[in-house]
Amino acid sequence: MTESTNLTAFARLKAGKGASREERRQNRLPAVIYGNGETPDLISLCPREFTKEMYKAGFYTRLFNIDVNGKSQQTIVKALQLHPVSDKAIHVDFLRVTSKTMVTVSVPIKFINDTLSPGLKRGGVLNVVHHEIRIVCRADAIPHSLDIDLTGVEFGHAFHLDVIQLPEGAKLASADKGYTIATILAPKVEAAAAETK
Amino acid sequence: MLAPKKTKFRKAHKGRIHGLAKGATTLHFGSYGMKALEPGRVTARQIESARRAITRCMKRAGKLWIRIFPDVPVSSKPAEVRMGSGKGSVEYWAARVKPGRIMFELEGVSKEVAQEALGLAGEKLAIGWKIVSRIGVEQ
Repeated sequence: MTESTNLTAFARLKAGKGASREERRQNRLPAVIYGNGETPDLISLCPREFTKEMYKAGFYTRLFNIDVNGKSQQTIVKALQLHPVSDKAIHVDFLRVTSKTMVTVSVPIKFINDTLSPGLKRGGVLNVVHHEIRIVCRADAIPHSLDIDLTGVEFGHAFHLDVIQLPEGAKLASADKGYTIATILAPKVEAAAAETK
Repeated sequence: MLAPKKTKFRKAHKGRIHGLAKGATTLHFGSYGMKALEPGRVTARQIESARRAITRCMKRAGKLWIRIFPDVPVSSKPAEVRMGSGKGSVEYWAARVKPGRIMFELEGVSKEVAQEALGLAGEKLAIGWKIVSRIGVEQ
């Protein structure tokens, strides 16, 4: 079951960059809710409340119940624009969903049991090629993360997409089913020797 | 030290660094990174020094990505030389960095080690910086 978070928002009337900038000057975060065959809703959020949620785990895999003037809408975060320097949110796109909606989301990969890997214990490096995988699943069944067990893996081992156990009803968004997610690299002995000189 | 293998021209204009970074503003490879907050030149010597500080602090565990490259030749004239007689010789190579640019990325180390390593690396740079981490991921 997907986690959900409640947010309160105000409706705003004008679209466009001028109106969005005006919202930011008023210390509000401009956002939009669209999808599900309904007309888009222009909203503004409290930036402080939103930023607190943004840095919590599972930000892209959580449902947000947005209360706009008393009417609640179930959404997920579709796109997030950040300021390049301050990393503050400057605009958010929410996708309106129902329990039946199939959504494409990026789910983070979690590597578990790293202490039980002989390769990592002997100084190997877990080289993560893909930190997240795009899957298609029901909006109310988005997994929090996808686990990869590192128990017993040695140097040179590569994890491909086929090792991931997807939850029921979920499928991969990509047509390429064999790409590498992570590899265990051997420690660089030559580089280490040069470094100590 | 990092330097281009070959260049089309030996010397470059001084140039000015305007505006904010348009690309490379988010983490692409690692879980932690260092972001520039000010415009400026980062020399090849500074990059190498920062790289050594990071790898030593990480005790050669983990992985490091350097996302800036010193491709600008910086020339200078020798001491006590009269003005004129052409441009000076190339002294060093530098990367022009705009605010918002991710300069280094780390993977495979804990948050504490990453913070310490990037803190030591930041001491070597002549511009403002901050540590960034991935959004929506358990640290």
